Amino acid sequence: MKNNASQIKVLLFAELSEKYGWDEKYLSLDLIEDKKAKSILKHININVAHQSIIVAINKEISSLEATVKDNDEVAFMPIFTGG
Amino acid sequence: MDKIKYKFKIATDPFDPYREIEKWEINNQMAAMSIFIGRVREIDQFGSQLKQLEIHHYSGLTEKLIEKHLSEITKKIESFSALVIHRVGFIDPLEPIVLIAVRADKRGIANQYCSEILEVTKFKVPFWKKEWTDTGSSWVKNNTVLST
Repeated sequence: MKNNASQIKVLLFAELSEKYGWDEKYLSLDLIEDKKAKSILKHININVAHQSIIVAINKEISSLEATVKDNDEVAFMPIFTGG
Repeated sequence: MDKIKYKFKIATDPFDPYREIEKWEINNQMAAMSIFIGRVREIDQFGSQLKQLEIHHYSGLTEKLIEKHLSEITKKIESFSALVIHRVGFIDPLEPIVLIAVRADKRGIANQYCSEILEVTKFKVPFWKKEWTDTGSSWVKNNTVLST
């Protein structure tokens, strides 16, 4: 369910999305004790090396150590391979 | 009329890079221009014949990161303008993936920033490539490094 004040939107891209079978999910931030991006990754059972993950929060490149707030959009992405 | 300093476009359909340059040049004429056109390779990362390349991106963040980079260049370099077009979706071998055209008043600036913007699209912007062959598909794991 969307637009709940205590929720965050989590996005997966490319290989991550394909591997885990979803690309968008809403989570209650109450379930993430320290509110850190790395704990969200653990909560959603994404088991990949942290150095191979790029994090964006609200469409800004961030880090796994960053703290997430209510209604944030948190994206977990594999290494970029464009151009 | 102010010159348009930069233009970035995500292309969901095939584009003709020469036509795009021609249109862009009308209002962006300077002494030097460098152009890079990247096309889809015919061979995948494992040496098999490529059927199609699929490119995914993070809409919103892609545009933001490229435009931020282009904006930073324009703050440093007065006589600079750039056109950047990047394809997404399914692309056939030898079709253009990326066009970078940089105009400046000196060749060194045009060459330098054409190369720099290309590296940004390869390593700093959320694009991902998936290669399709007759036997299936695989995600490209690592980008090609800059070499001669």
